[in-house]
Amino acid sequence: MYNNKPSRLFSGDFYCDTFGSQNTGSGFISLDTASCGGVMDLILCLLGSVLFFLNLKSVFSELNTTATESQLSSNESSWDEDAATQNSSLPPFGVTAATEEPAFGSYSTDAWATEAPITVSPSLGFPRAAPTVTPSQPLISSLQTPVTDVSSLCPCNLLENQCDVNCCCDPGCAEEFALFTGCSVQQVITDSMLCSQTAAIYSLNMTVNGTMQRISTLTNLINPDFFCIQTNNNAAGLSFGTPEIPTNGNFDTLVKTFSRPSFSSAGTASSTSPSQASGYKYGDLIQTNSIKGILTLPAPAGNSWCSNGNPVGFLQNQQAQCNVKFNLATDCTNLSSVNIASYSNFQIFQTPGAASSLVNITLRSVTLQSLDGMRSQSSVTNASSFAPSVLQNGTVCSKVVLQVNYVITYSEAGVIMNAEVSIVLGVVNATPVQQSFQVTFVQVKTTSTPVSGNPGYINGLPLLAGSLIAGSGIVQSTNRFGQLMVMKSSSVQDCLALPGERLPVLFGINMVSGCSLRINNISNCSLLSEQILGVLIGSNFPDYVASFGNSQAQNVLDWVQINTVTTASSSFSCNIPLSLDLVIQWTKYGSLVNPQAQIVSLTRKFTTNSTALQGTLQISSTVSFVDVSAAAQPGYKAPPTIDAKLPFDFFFPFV
Amino acid sequence: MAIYEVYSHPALLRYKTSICTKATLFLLIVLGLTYIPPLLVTYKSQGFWIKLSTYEEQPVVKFQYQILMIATTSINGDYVAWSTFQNLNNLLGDSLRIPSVSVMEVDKNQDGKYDEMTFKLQLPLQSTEQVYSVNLILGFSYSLFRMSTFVMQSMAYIQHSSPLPGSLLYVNGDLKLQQRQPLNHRGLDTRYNVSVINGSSPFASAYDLTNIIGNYQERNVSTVLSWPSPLWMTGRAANSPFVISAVIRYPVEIITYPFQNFFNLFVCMLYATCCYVLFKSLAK
Repeated sequence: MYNNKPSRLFSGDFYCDTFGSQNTGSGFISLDTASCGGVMDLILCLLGSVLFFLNLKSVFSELNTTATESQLSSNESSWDEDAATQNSSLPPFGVTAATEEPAFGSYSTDAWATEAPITVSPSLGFPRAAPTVTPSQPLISSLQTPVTDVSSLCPCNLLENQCDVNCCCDPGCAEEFALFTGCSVQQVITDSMLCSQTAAIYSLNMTVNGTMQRISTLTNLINPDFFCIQTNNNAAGLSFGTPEIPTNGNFDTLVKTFSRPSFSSAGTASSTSPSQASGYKYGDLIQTNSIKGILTLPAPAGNSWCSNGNPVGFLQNQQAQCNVKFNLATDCTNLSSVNIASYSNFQIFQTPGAASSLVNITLRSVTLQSLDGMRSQSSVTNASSFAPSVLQNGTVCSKVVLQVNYVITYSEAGVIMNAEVSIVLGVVNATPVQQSFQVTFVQVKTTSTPVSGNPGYINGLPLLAGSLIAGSGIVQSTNRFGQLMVMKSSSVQDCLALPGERLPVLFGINMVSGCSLRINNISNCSLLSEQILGVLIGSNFPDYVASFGNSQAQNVLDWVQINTVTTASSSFSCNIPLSLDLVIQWTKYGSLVNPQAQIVSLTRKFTTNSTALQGTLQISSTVSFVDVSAAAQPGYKAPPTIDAKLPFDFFFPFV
Repeated sequence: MAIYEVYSHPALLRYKTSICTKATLFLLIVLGLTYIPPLLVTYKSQGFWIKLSTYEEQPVVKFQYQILMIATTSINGDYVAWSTFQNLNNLLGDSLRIPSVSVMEVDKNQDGKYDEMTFKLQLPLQSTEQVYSVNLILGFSYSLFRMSTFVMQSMAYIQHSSPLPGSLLYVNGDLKLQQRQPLNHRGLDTRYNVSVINGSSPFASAYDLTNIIGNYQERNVSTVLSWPSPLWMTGRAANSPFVISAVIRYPVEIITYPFQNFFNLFVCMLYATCCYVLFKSLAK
């Protein structure tokens, strides 16, 4: 739209031809180049050639000046605006747009962008291929020759045998001109690039009795452009080339050459072709004898709702949380995605292909969750005894699947040896219900302990912490996300009624969380203080934190003791801790190109109340990581000492 | 009587002085003025060493016919979705709602490059459903050829939500290039010639909008649909479809690229020479 120049694709031919003919005709280039030398001269030389050419061109223009030239001068400036108008309203023919402004007689620049198509009458077009074609015969036998007579062209004539309103060139209009208010097509030209050409100009004129009258004239238009085409030696260069006629032989190559992206139904076929290999490969879908045929794990696709068809890829650990919405009364027992059977009641093929043996999914553990979030381990019996059931007149649905955790054991040959599932079932009285799913692949006969860095901590991985037991080193929790935790804000804001869930401290991530404490009476201060301390630090706060992400538990020197600082004001009879601030100071360790994060100290600061305990208090815990790395210092080696000694007999004859 | 030149020869005048004279001092000052001010002027003017330059090009943009549409059909979050990715459609299950889509790309000025695309999606709805929000991803291929050949697959992301149920979302905007780093001045650049959405993946994580947009925003060169304001029309007749109508234009872009040191040197030399000539003439 902005770039109104004709493209190289279409215009290259006639630019070369027309310019070439004029250049060779004048013969000045050889004359000038003879006197040029060096690069600068060459540039000057080219400049001179262009100037010479321009002069030549203006001479041509002057020769063709006619009486209409005076109206042409100011059209250059309106190029862009006109082009924009054209782009929004013009049919794809080189015809002046339907501007109501008196552009009559002027050489409108509207049509300049389009050079070739004007030569084709809209009523002509190309004949369509007949549906039945004999082999080896071209689909289109012959193309009609384009019409170039401007007086017979009328692009706005879109109704056969009927007058088009405001189409002044429509041959079907006669009496209807009286109804017109303007001409939608004001002039028809063959090619806007030509310097001089015949144009059919249409206008309306008011007659003495007040009716409109069509005036059509054929005039010679002069193009004011410097670079118009004076004589066109290559007439074919101004129109589109003859396309290659598609035949049965070249059809595929033509499609390959000209095809562009488009809607296709090619992808509708199922892409999961079961391989018959001896073992699964990374990313292969795991085949089961369930209805779906593959192991699936619900996951959100595009929003937060569960898509039940999400497959599990071999060796691709997945973790997803999504929501499921259902009617508690009616869908509780029917919906398969909340039923434990759909996650455990099938078997997995050990290797791809129906011929391989099947592995049962072992129900490793079933945890039952009550309405208030309390969890209790159930003695595993049979998945069928955990079917969902509706309670309390359809307001509560029990034994809804809340968490599914698959652990799949595989051998190095890609054979699935074992599959276990741990499931959390809960009582639900409101939907949507959030479900979380996880699948982990474990190689058989290997025990891997994930570390939080090698050696330095990696951002986002949990801090390793534990307690020192004399003689046996550091004792850590088996869950590395449970070793150093802080309070988590919950919808129950009361500190004394917080659920047990806590947040792991992750390296490099600063956090704040809190709860509120409403104090009615401080009769038992020490008990309250103890309770708040328990909320802040949890059940067993560790003593030591690992200085590196892969610190070994037996290597006590690799661990940093946690300091405790308490700022207490003694002016109050009752002191309870209001905040816990964990400040972790870490430094960059090692070479400058590959610094490793090392924890140098961890301080927990308790702040007790500095005012009297009244009303609602805010209890908060924060975690902040402080980079205490010393800046890299420029250091210089001591200059080398020159230990050069002359041979003892250097000055032999003299000394 | 006519006069004509018989012979001519240049005359050489020598001005001599001893070292400790005013003339020597003057000569030194003139020499200093000739060489130092040009350097100072070229250094102090900020354009001494250009690092970035720009050029203008209309990109070759082609619609890839990749569409992902998610529409929320109730205030509770029920949704219908459709995409041109068969794997996603399989995942969607009952939420799959196949719309009728029409696309037209137009080359308005006949320069061989498409200038705009008209997109219309008619989403059939049941009489109980209303559309409250729309997410739409359209995939394009975007190429630049003038300096370096830069080819990428990009996207236009359209998102709108309204508390009022809608009948039409009308979008009319430009597909703008977003550059975080300059493009090369030559060579072939296919860093981002990868699909925005991995349609061959059967896993749901490949179609997660946070993943798609997160990965896309990681790119240093991307496109963004710049639309001044969406038009959300309310009032939909029962059983009539929800319509997304979009006009996406492919405008000429100003692209930055690193200015080459060789040209820099050339420009600087030219600059210093000009200043030198100026001061030389002043000194004279």
